Order: sequence, then structure tokens, then C-alpha cells
Amino acid sequence: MQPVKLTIDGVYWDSQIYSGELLLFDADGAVHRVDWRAVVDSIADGNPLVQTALRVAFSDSDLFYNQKVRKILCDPQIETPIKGQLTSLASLNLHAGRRDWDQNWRIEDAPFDFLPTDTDVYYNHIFAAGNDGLYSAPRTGVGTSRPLGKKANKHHDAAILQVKASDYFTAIAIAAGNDGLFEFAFKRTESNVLDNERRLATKPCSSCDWSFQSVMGWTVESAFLASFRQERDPSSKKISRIFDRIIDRQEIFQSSLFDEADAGVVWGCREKMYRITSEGIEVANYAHMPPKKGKSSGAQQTKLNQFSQQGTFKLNFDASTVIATGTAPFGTVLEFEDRLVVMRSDGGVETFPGEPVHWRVFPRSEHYSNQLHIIYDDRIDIISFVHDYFVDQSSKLAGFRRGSNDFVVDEL
Amino acid sequence: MNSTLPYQWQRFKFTQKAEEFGDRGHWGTRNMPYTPHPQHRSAAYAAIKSQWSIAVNDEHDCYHTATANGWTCGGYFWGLYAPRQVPAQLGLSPSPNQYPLQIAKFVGDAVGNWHGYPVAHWLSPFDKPDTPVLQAWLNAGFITRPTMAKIHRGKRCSL
Repeated sequence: MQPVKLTIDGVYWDSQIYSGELLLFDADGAVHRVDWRAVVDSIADGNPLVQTALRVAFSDSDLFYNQKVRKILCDPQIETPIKGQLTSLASLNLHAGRRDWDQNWRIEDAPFDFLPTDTDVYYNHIFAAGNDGLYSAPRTGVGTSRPLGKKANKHHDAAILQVKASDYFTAIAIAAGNDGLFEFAFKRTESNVLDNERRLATKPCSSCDWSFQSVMGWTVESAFLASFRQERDPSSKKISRIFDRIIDRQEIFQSSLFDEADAGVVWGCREKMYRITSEGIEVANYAHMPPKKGKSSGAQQTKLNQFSQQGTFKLNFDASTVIATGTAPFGTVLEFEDRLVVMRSDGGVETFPGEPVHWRVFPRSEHYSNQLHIIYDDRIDIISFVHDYFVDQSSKLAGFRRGSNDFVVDEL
Repeated sequence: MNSTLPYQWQRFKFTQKAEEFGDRGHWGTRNMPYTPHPQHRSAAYAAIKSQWSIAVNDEHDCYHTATANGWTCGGYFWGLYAPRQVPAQLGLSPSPNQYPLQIAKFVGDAVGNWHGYPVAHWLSPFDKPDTPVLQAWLNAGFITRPTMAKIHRGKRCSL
């Protein structure tokens, strides 16, 4: 099943999609705010024969991950027309510009006076990382006429390459290059929303992502997992998140004979850990919860069982020149100098030729986790992968498992 | 160069303005003497220091071009080696990787003497030029927007 694509003309630097709004940051200090739900509705109204596919692909990707809906979807009398719509949608050339969506598009000054290296949106706050540190500003709702806050709060001084919010605990992680990996607790009720700064690792870290309560950090040359464990307080029954240790990539890929000379880029998100080797991409699963009582014989056993080797998928191209990676439910993304490659969860491979200005996936998102945004010099392509609805979530190698109850966030 | 920047990025003031260094085209020779550092041209240091792969004269030219164009930010000058208006390799990262490098960083000492070395912008945030310098390179046609984005975001790329 082919992905579906919507192209929006314009010159952009970064994108976010959050709570029914598409945010397009340009390089001139403006943010374009698009009422995404309204836009998708208008496209669906104009294309009634594929309206369900349009809504599922672009604004309600969670629907088909719901177990009750999945049972209905497995009914051949339902599945066939839905797949038919998705196939028809993939053949459409959906293309728009600001003029087409003028009613649902407004432009405001960005709350940040620098060109961000990365952004994220979390609990209605926009976070921006840059050479000068980490900043945040409140986000106003998509339907309000109130603009974004003009004043940004500064949270950290380091030069930051990535900022990633957690979907498991209310926390933010930042990759600060040679300064290492940091995290902050997010405090919804306080004016300064980030607190409890903690340096998780002093190892170089140019990228990071969340693996449940733990944080994966990596560069093109090394990788580690800042491992946390969860413990329930016997009296209060409250779950605590406790730092365990830094786990090296050798331990993650324990079952292979780890050859340093053949150690390509390692990265991960949620339960999936990947390593590029000369053979292909090696996959390990991370078990974030300890084994149930009676199945463990102590702490050492727990450690050994934390990572299970899932296998290797072969590549018919050289992946040693990969420059960035990402993981979503629909697959894992590899960036090369001249193209993006998506290793799909159904075993397929999708190539997007051309050198992007930026790209991003939304692993934490409830509604948009099937989207890949690719910003080119003159446009943004919003690509929706629809194959993953029909993939067995428990056995896939590329992409992390998506369930219907994935997005329950606990307070730190 | 500053006037070509979007107003939002004007906050990044250049730490050393052209007029502080003297007449255009003479900064490197008159007020800012340049002395190549021997450790960046020594096999004995190749495992810990990046190494120039261009001739010493070209290293001087790289520095003079950077100063003449005001490619400065954060107290450093940032250079390219572009004999045919296309950035070419100017050095290698330390072994064993020995990545080909196309950006040079020039630093001054306490007495105003300068030296430089090739940098791998993706290995350290301190070794990537800030927005004004990248914008200047973009405006001059040395890099594309995707390349500018990669450098800014600390991703490996060739210019």
C-alpha cells in the first residue's frame, strides 16, 4: 500500500503538527499557523470518494490503531473499500499553497529570535533549541485570535541540537553535543515550565529519543541508553522513576559479536533499537518493564532480559553514509545526503529523492504518528503512511509497536 | 553582511566588526597576523588534531578571505577554500576516521595572533559557524539551503 502525499508550496525551515494545527516555521522569523482539521475537512469535502481515507491518513491516524476499530476493519466488507479508498488517495496529486487555504492560514512572529536547530510542542508550549540554548513560549489554541506569546523563557545555555518531549513521563530531553544529554521535568502548573535539570550523560550526544522511561542518546559515532527503572512505592502505590545507569551499545546488541570496526550508527525509540552493520540493520527490542514475579532470579537476570535480539533486515544499498535517523510506528527513517529512505514496517522500502532542508516524524503524537514531513527548498511534503494499520504490531522489525493505549503520560 | 539578515537574527551581533581590524583586505597582514599552527600539519598529531590538506599559501588565503568578508561570529572567523567558487576539501579530521573537511575555524590568541584548523561541524556544536556566517555563505552562493540546514543542525554533509 503506497503512502499518500500532500504538498504545500512555500519556503520553510521546520514544521510541527499539534492539536489540530500545522505550524510551519520559516527562516525569516515567522510562524505560519494552519488550521489543519479545517483544511483536511475541506479537502475531504472536495473529494467525497476518498473522504474517509483522507481523514484517516491526515488527521485521525489513531483511529485504526484502536483495538475495537481494528476488529471492524478486519471485516472484509469494511476492509476492502477502505483499502480501495487509500489506494485511490495515493494516486491523487494533492497540492496546495497559502492562497488556497487563506481562511485557515495566519502568519505571526515566532516567539524566538533565532533560527532553531530543533523544535517541539508539549502541553501547549512551543520549545525551540538553538546555538544559544533552550527556550519555550506558550502556544495559543488554533481557534483563538490571540497570537503566540512574544516572550520566550530561557531554560538552558548550552548549544543544543535536539529537543524531545516524552510520551511516558512529563519530561523534556535535550541533546547538547559535547555537553552530553540533559533532561528536565515539565511542570504544567508553574510559569517556568521546566525544572529539575539533570545531566543524564556526559558522553557526546547529537540526537536523542525516548524509550519509555529511559532516554536513548547517540551521535554518528557512538550511542548509549540512559536507563531508568520504575518502582512502585509500597505505601503510596505511586510509581517512581529512578535513574539506573548508562548502557553502552555493546550491551544493547549483546547477542551479536559486537565488532567495533563494524559498528555503524545506533539509534532507537520506544522498544526498538537499531544498529547499521555491513550486513544490514540489526534490531533489538528494549523491555522497559521488569519481568513479572517468579520469572526473574534477581537484578542480573533483569539486566540480561532487558534487550532481546529480533534479527536483521538486509539492505540493498550502502547505509554507512547515513547522516540522520528517526523512528515512527510506520518504519524507521534514514537520511542520506541526497535522499530519505523509509524502511517500512511491512518490509517495504520507500525512497524520497532530493536533499531536504529538514524532515521530522511524530512518534509521540496520538493523531499524527503516521506522518513524515519533508521540507524541501520550495515546499513541504506531508506524507502519510497507511500500511501500518494492517501490520501485526507485535512482530514488526521496522518501526515501533503502536497500541491503542500508548499515550498515557504520568507526572514525574 | 548584517543588513542581509532577517531582522529576527540581528541579535547575533558580530563580536568583531570590520572597522576594528583596519582596512578591508589588509586585516590578515596588518592588524591580525596569521601564523599556521604546526600541530595541524604534523603526522605526529594526526590522531588528535585535524590536519590541513591544502598548501600553506592556500591556508593563508582561506584566512584572508574569511576576514575580508567578515565571516565572523562568536569571536572566531570561519573559512572556506573555494578556488573555483565551489567549496573544496581543505583538511581531514583526526584519525582513524579522517573525514574530509571543508570548513576552517580561525581563533585569535591573547596578543592578537591568529591560527586556524579544519573542523568537522557535525562532531561538535562549537565547530559549526553560527547563523550570520551561514547566511553569508548562502547569499554568496557557496552553500544551498539544505546544506545550511545540515550544518546548523550538526549533520554531516559535504558543501
